[in-house]
Parts: sequence; C-alpha cells; structure tokens
Amino acid sequence: MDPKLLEILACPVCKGPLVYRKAEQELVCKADRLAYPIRDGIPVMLEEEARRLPADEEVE
Amino acid sequence: MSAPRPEPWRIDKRRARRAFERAAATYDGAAFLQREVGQRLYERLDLLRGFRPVRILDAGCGTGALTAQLARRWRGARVVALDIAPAMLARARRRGPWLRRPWCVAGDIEALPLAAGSFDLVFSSLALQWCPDLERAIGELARVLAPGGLLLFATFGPDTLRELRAAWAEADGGAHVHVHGFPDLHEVGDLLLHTGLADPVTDAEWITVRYGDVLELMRDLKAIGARNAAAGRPRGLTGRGRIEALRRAYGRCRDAGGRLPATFEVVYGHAWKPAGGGAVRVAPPSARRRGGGP
Repeated sequence: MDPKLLEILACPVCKGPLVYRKAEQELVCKADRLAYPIRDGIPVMLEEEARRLPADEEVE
Repeated sequence: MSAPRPEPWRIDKRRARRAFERAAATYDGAAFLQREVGQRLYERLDLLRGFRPVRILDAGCGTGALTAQLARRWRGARVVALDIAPAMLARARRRGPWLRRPWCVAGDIEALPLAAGSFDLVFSSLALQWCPDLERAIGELARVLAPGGLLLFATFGPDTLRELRAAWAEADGGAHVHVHGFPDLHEVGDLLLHTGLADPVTDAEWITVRYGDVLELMRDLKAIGARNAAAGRPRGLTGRGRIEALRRAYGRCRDAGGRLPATFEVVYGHAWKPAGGGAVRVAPPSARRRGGGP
C-alpha cells in the first residue's frame, strides 16, 4: 500500500481517515468501526464488503 | 431531478456490480461503443490548452483503456482508477509501463472512498448511467475535485435503446421495465449547477449501432455487463414466446439494408470547481504545471 494512496483514501461512509493494518491487509475506519479488505493489492472500499469490528476489537 | 427516478426504474446496484464482475473477461471484445465514446470524450481534452492536471481520477474505469491513455498524456501525473468491480480493476492494473500504472481502488461513485479536493481532473466515461442517484454521484465527483479542477464525463441520455424499449413495450404490453431510464442534458446541466460547479457545458450526440438480430444486440449488452438492473425488471427466465414477440416488434424498425438500428444518445458534460470559493474560474496554479508531458 503506497503511503501516498493512503493519504487520499477515505472511508466511503464518513469520509474520515483510515488506518492501514498491514498484517490483516485491511483499511480501518475507527469512527464507523469498519474494516475494508485489501484483496490482491486492491483496496475494496465498499461498505457491503467491509468487516464490522466487534466491540472488543482495539484499533492500533 | 434531485430525487432518484421512480421505483421500478431504480437501478439495483448490487446486481449491476455482479454483472460487471462477470463481464470483465468479455468486456474488451464487445465494448465497441464504450471505446468509441471514451475516445471522443478523451479528445475533448485537446480543447483545454495549458491544462496540466497532476492528480487524475478515472471514475468507473472498466478495464482501464482510457486510464492508461490519461497516464500517457500527462506523464508526471498520478492516476487513480476507480471501478465498482474489482475484476475490472485487475485488468486495468496491468496496462501501461510499470511506473505509470494506476492506483486501483474498488469503490462506488455515489460513495467515493476519497478525500475532498484530491484531484485536478475527474474523468468519467459511461459510468454515471449506473448511478440511481445522479445528483449524489455528481456531488461526490465535485467533492473530490480540487479548486480549479475539471469534471469531464459522458453518460447516456433518454433516447438510448429507444427501439429496444419500444419493442419490449409492444412485446409484453409495458408490464416490465427492460431498459433503464436516463436523464436528459438539461437535467444533467442543472445538476452540475446545483452541485456548485461553475461554467457547466452539456451537449448530446446520437450514435446508431446496427445489428443483424435483436439477440445480437442483447448479447453485446450482456458482454459489457450492461444487464438489466432496474428494480422493476422481470424476474425469472425470459421465455421463448416473449423473445419471439420482441423480435417481431423490433423487426419493424429494420432499415433499407435489412439491419436493426440501436440508438445510443450520449450526453457529454464538463464543469469546473470554482477556485478560492468564488464562482469564477481562474487559471490553474503554476504548481500544477510541474507534471511535464505534452
């Protein structure tokens, strides 16, 4: 994930910034508690494809 | 036109997305019209002398033929290829020399996963017709434009597939929606103004593609992923009897050479994001010229 791409990517729901989790290959919106998958190097920024973070899952 | 079109016409986007996923492999063979319109839209950039975008978004890029052209045109530019179907992006990503390959992002134009003010040029060829809420889609494209940036797009107008629409209406008495509704160029122009973009220009042209048979036309539409995604589409298989009725009805518009015309009305539009909050566009800042290229 190119850091310059990460700079312009935003959560499609709230347009807020995302946290890149390298090991999980996910982009996480802390506000909406949604984790968007990166598949084959392509961030899939669709709400219906995102994983909802369980209440006990810490971000960072 | 701020509300989405009436219910039966509403496009079921999940369904449209699945159709595009499946069509990724066949798209380039059948996408003659898409290529032609994309090329015509691309050539409009020739009219904008001195415009040197360094951050470009190709919204609804499909297999990325135009994304690659945009990257070649402005060599220093960073190009983002966005499409709702990851299978299309997997193809877009492989085009062009390695260093100039686009950043690929799967996303929905109506809910762009991009920060505000990120692009100098937003280019979109034949993608907006899939957005049930066009005002929202154009609003999103305008949001990601930087001040002084340009939105340039092509979409389908109301005459698109008028022969097919009329033939289906005759074949099943208008019981179902077979062809999506499309906004006209005045509605599109109004939306651009509504969105706060400046100097909007819209125009339309009509392109007639000729087919030997109505099934040939439908095969082409299927191959590019243009399946009927309207909420009021008929459910279940289309029976042989209805297809025969469709053939007879469409056959009545056969031309002198025995071919069946299919009309596509293409609506082109462009508008600028006002620089510095005012409604008047000023010349792009010099920082934008460091991109090099032609």
